Amino acid sequence: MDDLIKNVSVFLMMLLFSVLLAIILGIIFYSEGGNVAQINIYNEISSSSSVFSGSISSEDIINLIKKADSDPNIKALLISINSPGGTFVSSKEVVLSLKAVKKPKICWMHDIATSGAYWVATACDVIVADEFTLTGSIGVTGSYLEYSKLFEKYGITYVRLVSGEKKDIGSPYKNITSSEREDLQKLIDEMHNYFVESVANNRNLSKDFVLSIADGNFMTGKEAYNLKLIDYLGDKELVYNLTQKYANLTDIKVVVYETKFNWYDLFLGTISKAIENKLSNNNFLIKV
Amino acid sequence: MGAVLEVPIIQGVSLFSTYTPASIIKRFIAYLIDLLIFYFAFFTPFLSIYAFLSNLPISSELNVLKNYILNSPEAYLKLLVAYFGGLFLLLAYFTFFEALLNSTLGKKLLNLKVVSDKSKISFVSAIIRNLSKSVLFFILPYDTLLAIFNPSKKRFFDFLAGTKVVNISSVYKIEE
Repeated sequence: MDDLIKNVSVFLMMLLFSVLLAIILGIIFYSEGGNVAQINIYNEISSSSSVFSGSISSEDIINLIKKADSDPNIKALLISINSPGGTFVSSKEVVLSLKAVKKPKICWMHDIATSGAYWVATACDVIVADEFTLTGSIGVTGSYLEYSKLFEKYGITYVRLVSGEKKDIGSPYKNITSSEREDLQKLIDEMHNYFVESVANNRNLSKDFVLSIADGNFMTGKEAYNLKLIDYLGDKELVYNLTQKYANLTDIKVVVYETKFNWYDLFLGTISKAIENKLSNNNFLIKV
Repeated sequence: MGAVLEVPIIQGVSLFSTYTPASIIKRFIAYLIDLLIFYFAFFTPFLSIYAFLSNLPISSELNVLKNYILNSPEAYLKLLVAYFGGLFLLLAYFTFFEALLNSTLGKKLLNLKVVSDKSKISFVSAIIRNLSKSVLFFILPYDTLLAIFNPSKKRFFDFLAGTKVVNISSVYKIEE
């Protein structure tokens, strides 16, 4: 019994010491968070984020944007992008969320900011990229894998039970019909039109001009600069100088806004999402 | 080696504790257990409180953390403080437990004990013997190597501190 009391006493003493040390160091090294919020979009933008699949959710990005917008200490948003794009709706959500922010928004493109990621960039006031950053790729894709022939080979049958003729449109287990293809193409064209219009509006360019270059092909930062798709070619120093200028700050202190670590997402969330995806009958996803 | 403690239980029977040098593997397992206990019981509260008070965002992604450090020299300093603070705390963990209880929680689980060449293990000797297990962790492999090739299984820092780690075995002896 004495031994147990002794052990518990030392344990509690150690815990108290840890807390006191944390409080002392925390107070000594406290400093203001910063006046520029950097939000990193370093993965594919999707409706849900996953550490393993390498995607970041639009919800997470939007939450960070809102958090930065509502923080009175934050005078500007620095959107740091290294992403190949994402799903149409997720990208659109981020664009709309950024457009709603009145604070100066500076976009900094790294290796890649194509398609949906470029679309997000256009919602910023200024876009800076390296001359070799891959960007552009304005276009929409709804391509998907279709396994019906593979199933046929192995004698697996898709038992089709639907309430309507087009209920399982985009299913990977059956051949797409011409009518379904037409419908999907129409949807993709409609989305493409929206995407082009949005880019034209955001960049103050004519819709015809954007349409003429929106063939889905990527381009370098230099080409994008010549086509006025971006504003500056430069590096971190230029990005910081521009942020300082647009936010009218004498000194900038960048603080990275990030999503909180979530153990559920890391383990259970990832597993449940993987199972959900495997069980899903429909893998049709429209990406930009 | 040998009996060092004799406690009479009932008339004619005594409880002896015998000490033999603990194996490196057993000590290493105890060290890992200690690290786990330290991480969850002491380091996590320390880091959480420190990060909250110093305004340091704890990152979940390495690239985000890297970017944060690159963009903010203050963040770099804060992280360094957290890092060295953590190592100092680890040293404090081993020191407190060994100086006050002659054993850490990991060692207790494996029936190990730190004994001093002198009468009692002091705070100073506890600090010295645990330097390579905490703040000077990078020399721990070399320190351990010495213990492997040493009959008394003493690390270099055990020699400096005048301590050794032993197995505790209890035996009952019927007096004649």
